[in-house]
Amino acid sequence: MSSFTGLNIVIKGLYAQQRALDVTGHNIANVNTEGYSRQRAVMETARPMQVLGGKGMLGRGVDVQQIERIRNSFLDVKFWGENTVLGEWSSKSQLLGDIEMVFNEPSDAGLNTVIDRFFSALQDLSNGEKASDLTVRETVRQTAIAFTNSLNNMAAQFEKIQTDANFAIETKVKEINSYAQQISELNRQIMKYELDGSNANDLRDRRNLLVDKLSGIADVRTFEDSDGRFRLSIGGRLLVNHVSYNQLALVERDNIQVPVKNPDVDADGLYEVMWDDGMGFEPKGGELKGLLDIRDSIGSPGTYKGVPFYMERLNYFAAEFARAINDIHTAAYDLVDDGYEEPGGDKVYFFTNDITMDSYSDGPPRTQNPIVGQITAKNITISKEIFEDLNRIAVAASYNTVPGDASKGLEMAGLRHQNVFPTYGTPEDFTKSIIAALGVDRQEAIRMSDNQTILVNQTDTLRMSTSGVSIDEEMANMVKFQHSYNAAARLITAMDEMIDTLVNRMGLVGR
Amino acid sequence: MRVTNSMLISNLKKNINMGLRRMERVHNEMSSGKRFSVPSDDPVGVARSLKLRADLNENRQFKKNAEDALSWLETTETTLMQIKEVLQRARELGVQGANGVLSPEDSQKIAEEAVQLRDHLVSLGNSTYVGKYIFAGYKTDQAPVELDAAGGFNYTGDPGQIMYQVGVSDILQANFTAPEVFSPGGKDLLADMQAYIDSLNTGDFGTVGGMIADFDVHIENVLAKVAEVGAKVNRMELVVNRLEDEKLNFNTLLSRTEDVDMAEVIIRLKSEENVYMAALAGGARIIQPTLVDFLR
Repeated sequence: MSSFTGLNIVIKGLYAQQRALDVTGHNIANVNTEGYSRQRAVMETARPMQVLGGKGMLGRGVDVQQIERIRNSFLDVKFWGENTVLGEWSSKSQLLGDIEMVFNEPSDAGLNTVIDRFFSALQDLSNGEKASDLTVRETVRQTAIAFTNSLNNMAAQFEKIQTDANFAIETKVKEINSYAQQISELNRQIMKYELDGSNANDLRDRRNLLVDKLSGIADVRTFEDSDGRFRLSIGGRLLVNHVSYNQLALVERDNIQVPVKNPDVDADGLYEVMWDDGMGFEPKGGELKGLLDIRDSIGSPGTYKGVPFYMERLNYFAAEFARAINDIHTAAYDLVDDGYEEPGGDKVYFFTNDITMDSYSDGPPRTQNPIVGQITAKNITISKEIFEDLNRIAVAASYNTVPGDASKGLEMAGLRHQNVFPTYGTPEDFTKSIIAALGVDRQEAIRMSDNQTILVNQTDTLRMSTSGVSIDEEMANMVKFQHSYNAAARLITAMDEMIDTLVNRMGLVGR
Repeated sequence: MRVTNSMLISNLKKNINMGLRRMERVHNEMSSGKRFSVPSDDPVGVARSLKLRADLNENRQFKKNAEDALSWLETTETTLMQIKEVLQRARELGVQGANGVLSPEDSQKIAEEAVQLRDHLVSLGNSTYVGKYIFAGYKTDQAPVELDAAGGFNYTGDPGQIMYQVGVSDILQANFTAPEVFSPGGKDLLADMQAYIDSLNTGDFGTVGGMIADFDVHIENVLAKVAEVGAKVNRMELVVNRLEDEKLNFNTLLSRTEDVDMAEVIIRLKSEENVYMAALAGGARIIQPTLVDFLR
């Protein structure tokens, strides 16, 4: 045991307090860094020295054994799970909000009002002496055009929501791919730094942050083996396997290689998301699932009610409504004298899918062009005949009863109270039930996303409680380490004085 | 639980944001005066409001129809009253002509007036309402009453019924066809008129006297029609009144479904405002001081 043993002990103390102060400084510097978890210098007594002669152990000071980060990985896993659900419902509630805007109800400009106006005009035409009144006929034509225009417009807006969702999906897929690359790169670095058994604290924080972000987009599962190899899967398949990674691919649906999901409904050029080796990809949560559900789900049992559902319903509405009106209109007689008596009605369509096409191939007797079978919300229009000539609106029950007879018009106006739509009821019931269903769905989405926001926030608060930097605490630590440092320094002064005494002040005894 | 600075700040931000969101929602209700603006605000309420709006629109249409029916009926009534007056005048002349004390000149003058009356009857039979012949059935575009070669009544219209729908299953027939007025039970008014003129011209006073009874039959028929029109006018007025009442009801229901209770909303806004202010004030206190402020 030399005279300098004590000095060594003290120097170890100095170093350790200095290191702890460094860590405190790092914590304070990163108090606002996203994803940062506070660190702590773990101190440990140095290996003691045996004092000869059975007198016990002499302490040899302190060592900083490691710098650890304070983090609860259980909370991370919980956060990822909740964040995935939040991502799904918040994107759903947002997109359903867009769909609500398309329906624009309740208002004085929604589909219901337009239908009401059309029926009112028809009824006006069918009442009393007005059957041949051109101004009233014009009203019928204009309200019919307003009706078809709003259906066309709604279909176009739905298509836009679908393509917008498609664009968002493209962006999210690219984000996933980029995160996969970054995570695998971080895995490589972490592996390298931790080879000697140390902790790559800050790199791990950064990886956690990336997984946080990824968990909002898709459902993530992570696994780290005992050798520190980190694996991450989304949608049930490995995305990152330690230092290697897979990528997602976007393939345009063209029905040749990739089938279109909802024929007659989907917009052109939607992307199918798959793994780059061609395997199907199906996220079970996250924004991506929300977007895919809204873009693709037609509302068949077990699936969500997305844009295709509303498009399909709207198409059905347009087709059935047109059919009901046409059934009566084609069997009625218009004001135009055709020069012969057409049996079974004048066979003029009211609504068709193509304004340039004649209702019939020329007669007599006329035969109808079979074009009305393909009426959709997107293409519905009034017929060429009615567009060109108001007198072609047919409301009379017989060739002989024009122009005063409007009994067929009354029948058309009466459709307002007929069960035109099996299982739905009247036209008004139909739109009402769709809108109410949409309202309920969006309400659920809002409720879910609100609840999830609370859960995610709670979990995040818990994480911050564990891992967040508290300035008060760091300040207290700073003072604590500073004092220890000062004390150790003071000890050096004491040692110095002792050695000074020993070396310089030893007197020449008796000399 | 350990409380850290970022926790405090993020909670504060969350709370302030939530307070703002709630305030915005209440403010929305207040400025629009409506309980909901999109279906998801209240799906049931929206469905009910859609139904009530449709009912209101239909009510408006039915009321318009009933009012149209009323003006049609009033035109018919006026025309029928005029026909009655013409017939009454013809009857008076008949009483005069049947006296048998008239000179041939006098009776010819009466005959001339009778011709005028007959022509007037024909033109009354061809009365129009906004350009449509009211006694023509469906043939509203052509004059329905003509004189045939013998001076009798010739109808060119059809038996079409002009209908007004004033309720979901309430349809009113508003018209009479010319035969109902001009040849009740096959008794031809115009042919009678012609016979009357002929008799006056030839001085056949006996026949003229005998025809007074014929005029009575026709007058009675027209009066019966006038009474029928009157009854229909009454019915339409009742319908209009009922529709007015319904409109009031629908509007009340719609208002109850859609409209906010202003007092309640203002109170809610006030209380949200308090919460928001408190969050701000508390936040200002909680995030400022740390130990740094007290270390020298």
